[in-house]
Amino acid sequence: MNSQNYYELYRLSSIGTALTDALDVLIGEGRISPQLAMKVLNNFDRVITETLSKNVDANLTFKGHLDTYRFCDEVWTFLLKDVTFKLQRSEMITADRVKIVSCNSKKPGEA
Amino acid sequence: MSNAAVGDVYQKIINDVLDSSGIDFEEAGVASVVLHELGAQWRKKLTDLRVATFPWDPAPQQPQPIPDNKKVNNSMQAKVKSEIPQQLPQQQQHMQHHPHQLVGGVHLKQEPNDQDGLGAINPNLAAMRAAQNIQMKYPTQEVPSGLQQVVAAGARPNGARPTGPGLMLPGSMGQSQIPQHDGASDIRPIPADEPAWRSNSGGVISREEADRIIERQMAEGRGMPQMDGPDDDDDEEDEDAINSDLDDPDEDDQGEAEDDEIPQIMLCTYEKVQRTKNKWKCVLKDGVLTVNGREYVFRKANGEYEW
Repeated sequence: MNSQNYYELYRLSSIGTALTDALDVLIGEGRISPQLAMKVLNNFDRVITETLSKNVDANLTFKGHLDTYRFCDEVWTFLLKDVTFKLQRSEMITADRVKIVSCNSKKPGEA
Repeated sequence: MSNAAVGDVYQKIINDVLDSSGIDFEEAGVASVVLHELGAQWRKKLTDLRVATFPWDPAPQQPQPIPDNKKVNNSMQAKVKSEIPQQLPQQQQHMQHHPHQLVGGVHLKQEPNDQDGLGAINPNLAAMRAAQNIQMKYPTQEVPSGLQQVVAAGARPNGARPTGPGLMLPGSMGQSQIPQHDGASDIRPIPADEPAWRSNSGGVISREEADRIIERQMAEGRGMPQMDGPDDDDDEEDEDAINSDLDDPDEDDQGEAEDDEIPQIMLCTYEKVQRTKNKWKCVLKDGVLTVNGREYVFRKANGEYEW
C-alpha cells in the first residue's frame, strides 16, 4: 500500500466513475474482492494526482457569478453561475452552472 | 488546455493504474486476465460517457462524439432556419386548403373529427346532452327541479327522496347535547383540590365564585392553561426558528440537479482563495473539469467571481 495518502476527490470525475463502475461489475461477478478494488482505487488516486500535476500543461481562467460557497474540512465548494471559461488558444466555454470541489493543495498528505 | 489533451492524459492514467495494480492482483491471486478485462471495461465505460475522444476509440465514425446540447440546438436551429424560407411558399398554399396545418416546418396530422368538434372534449356539450336526454325521458315540459339537481349531482338516479326527518338545525334538538367540534371546551374543569370547590355544596358554583377562583389562580402565578391551540404569537417565530436557509433541501441539490446527466463539475486542488468584499479570486491546480458533456484537464486555473 502507499505510504502517502492521496485525495479521493478525483474518483468523482468521469474517469473515476468509469473505473468504479468497472470494478463494481467485477465484484458483482465475484471475480475480484472489494479489498482488491480498494487497492486499485488507491492506485488511481495516486496516479491521477501525479499525472495531472506532471503531464498536464494547460492553464485556464474563468469568470462567473458565485452563487454558493462553502469551506468545510479544508475543502472549498463553490457553486458558480453563468461561468465563462477561457482556455488557451482563446477557446471559450460557457456554462450556466458549475460546481467546484477543491481540496487544499498544500497538504496532500492529509486527505 | 483543450479537450484533445484529455484522451492522452486519461490513456496514461489508465495504463499506469493497471500497471501498478498488477502486483495487487498477483498478491490477491487473481489472474491477469481479469486485470485486462478491468482495463477494457474501464475504457469502454469512459467511451460510453463520451466526454472526450480517446486513443483507444475506434476510428471516429462521427468526428464529434457527443455534441453538447448547445451545439445540437444551434445546428438544429440553423437547419430549421435554412429550411423555412424554402417551405414557406408551399405552406402558404397548404394553409389555404388546410387551415389546420401549422407553420414552422411542423405538419400536424389532421384529425378527421376536428371539424365538427366531436373529437374535442367539451364539458358543456356533455351537460347539454344530459339535459336533452332528460327532456326526452320526461317529455312533460317541466322536469322536476329536484330531479335535475339529483342528476347533476350524479347521485340517486331513481330520483328517490331521502327518507327521515330531513335537514335538522342543531337548535332543533331541544337539548344542548351537541358534541363540541371546535376545539377544547372554554369551561375549565376546576381541580378537585380547589378549596372553594370543596366548600361549595351541590357541585355548582356561581359565576362570581368562578371568577374568584380564577383570580386567585392568576395571583398564585399558575396562569390559565391554554386550550385553544398554540399561542398566536409563536406563529411568526415558527417559520425561521431553528431552521435556516441551509436546511432547505433543494438548495443543496442545485449542483447535481440533473442526476442522470453528466454533472457540471470541476475537481481540483486550491492554492489560494482570496476574498475582498464580494469579489473572490482563486488559484486552482491539477483539475478535471466537466462542462457541457466535455471533459478538460488543467494544471492551473485562475478564477474571479463575485458573490
